[in-house]
Amino acid sequence: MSTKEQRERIELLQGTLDLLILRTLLPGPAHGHAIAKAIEFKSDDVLQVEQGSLYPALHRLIKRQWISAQEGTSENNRRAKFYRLTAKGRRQLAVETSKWQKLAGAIARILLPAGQEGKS
Amino acid sequence: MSRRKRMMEDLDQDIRDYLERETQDNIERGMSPEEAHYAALRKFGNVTRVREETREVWSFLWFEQLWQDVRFGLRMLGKNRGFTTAAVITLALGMGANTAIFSVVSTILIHPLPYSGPRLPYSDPDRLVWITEYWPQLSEIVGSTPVVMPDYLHWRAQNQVFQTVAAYGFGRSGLDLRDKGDLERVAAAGVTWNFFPMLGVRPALGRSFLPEEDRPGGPPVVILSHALWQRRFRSDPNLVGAMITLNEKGYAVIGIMPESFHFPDDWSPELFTPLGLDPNLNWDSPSVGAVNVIARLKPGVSLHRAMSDLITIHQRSAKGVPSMAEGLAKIQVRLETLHEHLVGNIRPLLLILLGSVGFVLLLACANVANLQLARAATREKEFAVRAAIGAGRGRLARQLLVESFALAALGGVAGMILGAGGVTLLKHWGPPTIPGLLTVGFDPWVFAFIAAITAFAGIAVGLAPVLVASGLNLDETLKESRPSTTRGGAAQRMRALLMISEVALALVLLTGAGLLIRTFVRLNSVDPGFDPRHLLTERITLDLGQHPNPAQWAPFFQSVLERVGGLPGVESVAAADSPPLTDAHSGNLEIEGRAMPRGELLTALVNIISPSYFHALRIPLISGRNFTPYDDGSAPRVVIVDEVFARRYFGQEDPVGHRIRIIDGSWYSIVGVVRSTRHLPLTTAPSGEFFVSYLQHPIYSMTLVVHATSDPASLAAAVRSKVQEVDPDQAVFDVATMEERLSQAVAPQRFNALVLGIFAGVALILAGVGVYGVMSYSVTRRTHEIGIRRALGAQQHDVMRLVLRRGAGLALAGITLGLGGALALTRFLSSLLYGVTVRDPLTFVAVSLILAGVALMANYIPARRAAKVDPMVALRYE
Repeated sequence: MSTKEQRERIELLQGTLDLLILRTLLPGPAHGHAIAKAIEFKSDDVLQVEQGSLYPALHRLIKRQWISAQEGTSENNRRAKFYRLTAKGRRQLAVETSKWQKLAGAIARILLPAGQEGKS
Repeated sequence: MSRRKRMMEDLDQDIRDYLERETQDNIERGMSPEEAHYAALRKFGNVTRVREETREVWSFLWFEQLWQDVRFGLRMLGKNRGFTTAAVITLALGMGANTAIFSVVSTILIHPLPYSGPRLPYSDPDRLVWITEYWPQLSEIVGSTPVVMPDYLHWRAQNQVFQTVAAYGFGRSGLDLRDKGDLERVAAAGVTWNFFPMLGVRPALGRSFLPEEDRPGGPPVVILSHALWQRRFRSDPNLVGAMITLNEKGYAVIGIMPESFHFPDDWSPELFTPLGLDPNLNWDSPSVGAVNVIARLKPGVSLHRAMSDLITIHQRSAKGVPSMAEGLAKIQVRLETLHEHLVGNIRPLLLILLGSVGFVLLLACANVANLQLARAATREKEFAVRAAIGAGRGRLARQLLVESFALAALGGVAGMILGAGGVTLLKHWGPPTIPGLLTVGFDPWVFAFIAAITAFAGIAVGLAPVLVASGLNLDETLKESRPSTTRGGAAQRMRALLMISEVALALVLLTGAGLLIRTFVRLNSVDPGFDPRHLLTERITLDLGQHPNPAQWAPFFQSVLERVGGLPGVESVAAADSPPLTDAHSGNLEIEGRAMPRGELLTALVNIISPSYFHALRIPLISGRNFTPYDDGSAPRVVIVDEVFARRYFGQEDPVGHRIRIIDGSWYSIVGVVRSTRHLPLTTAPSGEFFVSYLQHPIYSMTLVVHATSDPASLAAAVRSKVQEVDPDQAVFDVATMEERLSQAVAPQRFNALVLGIFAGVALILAGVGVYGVMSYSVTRRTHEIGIRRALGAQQHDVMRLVLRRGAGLALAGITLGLGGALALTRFLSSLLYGVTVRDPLTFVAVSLILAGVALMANYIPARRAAKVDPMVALRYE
């Protein structure tokens, strides 16, 4: 029963994680660790990227041709894999962002009249 | 493939890179390198699972895992030899039986007839129709009859609905084939010239008949069946064009039919001659007879439209004969597809067999599902561990399903082999009443069917454990050191459900088999009206070419009877046109002094016999006297009637002394009444029969009935030689003891009872094993609990009662359910039953008791084991 809840959470995260990855790559290419760090940092550590889901998500995005991966050399001269937003991914980011905003707006409208402040 | 491989290699590198960076970050936060490394690993989580999930993105994983599952599953099955063998054998039995029965169904019911028709557009065998006529009086007794010749001729000439109308007729008993002094009577049919072309078959050698050969007095030409050509002429290819001798007359062989050709009738003639109908024959012609008519519909014409066309033609021609118009107008025309005509009678039986065998498969699946459940229970830990290291629920379910499918596939292969054996057995033991049984074999439909039942079995067997396994609670299972007694409610319920349905299925099958066995027993105890022991029958048919004068017939049979009667070992001998257990003919009659409504006639079976007939067959005389040799052609005409005839036409009155007029127009005095005997089919009650002496009404074909003092079969050769003393050219055929005929008469019912009995027996065993398995497993699971009960003072019989009560409850539920099912289903058997109703209480009670007994036995063994549990051992039992 507990597993069922977990699964639902993961699934909720998946779409969101895709969006966050795309957004993170907007300024420029980055490697996996940097992406995770960036998401955590930018969300003030509210969003902990589940490491287990990062790589499947990256590969899913590659498969959909929203991002591409290439070999590169990182700042400290080590070989690493860099992920880059494709043109298609850029368009998708716009679509996903507006979708997310609609959703967030809708949820906000539902929650706010209740007047209760959340955890934050 | 290579792209995926590269991706996966990159992923490994990527993950390493990630971990290194995370470690580095951790060191910068002030951890020791080792600490930092583990913290990074911890944060990253299950590397294997991440890899798998990533790999899954590339979607090859599914197949890879499937392959893994298959290998793992096969390994598990290999490890568990006992379980695997039991499961495969069970499934193979179920699937083998299904394969065998379905092969028969496929060949006989599904396949179109092998008559594709001429290579014309739209030609197909479904447009072949069988045409019969229904006579208001006659057909109530004998059913639809062949078509009267004038109708056939008019239809052929005037119809708008058929491409072809063809006909065939059987000579009364075939033709005598003489080959180098050896005489054999061979079944023969006369066919119209267009008969073979209409069916779309042509001789393998030589040619078919020509239109000009198919006329009265046409040339003596003959076509042979492949079997006869092989048997008698060693497949001599030069036979075509040669002469053979039939009925002491030379015939030119013009063709040999292909081996694959089957005559579209219940029996197979081996010689074909032109039918030679006179096209000018009409209703008032003296030689009017009947022919069997098959026609091929024009494309798009319905049976109904064809029928109304034929009726219109019939009515028009009947009006042309005013003296007969009124009677002829009452004749109805019946049309059915040739396929329906050939297999319609057998369809219910085959469908019942298919349904029953389906039940057997369900039972087999239930049993194996039960085994799987028990095994899954012992594997709970394995599943929990696999789940803990990252196997998803889907993955576990798939593992179980893969194992089930592997079992089903093994069962399917074994079942196919068993099925092939079953087909051979069916061909050997099946009654001749199943047309085309010998042509049964595996065809693509059968293989598709095997694939389908294999898939079904895979799902059916795997479903229960999957359902149960997906309710597994990880934490508890891992913590527990032994199978739990309190948990597993889902599995328990599932097992109970399987057991109930097994008992129910078995009960339905047992009921069906019980009714058919009762039918067989009832039929065997039917009093045929005579004593079948010590009787040998042989048919003698005089050649009308040799014996054209009816005055010669009686003396011929008289001298045969005298000579055969003088043989040592012969107690008495008689002759009859249609002795018991053969097809009888019916005839019209008139009773003196009784006015009949215009156009209506009384009917009864007619039998022409020698005076010794009633003595040889031990048929008791009820009143009056027997025939004597003095009741001959010069004496007053006398007739003997049977008791059913007497009751039907004379009620309480004694018929002796009354006179009746029969076919030949003479008045016959009734001199005696005898017990009624049965003809074919045995299930038909006597309908009234009258007997005339052959001395007063000679015929040219009779069956000798020899009453032997010992084994009748051993007399066959001696009787034949005596017949040939009278005429060396005279053939004797259709030799069988009366007991053989009796056995043949019940062969269909014996077959039904045997096959369904076997199915029910298998079902009973499977259900017994199933009940045993469930109860035995439940006792094992509860050993600990039973130990506690015993320790707390429960006596052995308390424990036994505990176990038995649950088993009996389940069995009772199954029996109740099964009785409901049987009540609903046995009505489909009604056409196969004789002497019992579909709700025969005796059968229902008996099979319920049998099943209850088996369930109790299967229950008792585990219960006793439970009772013998030593509390100390049980409490320590881990």
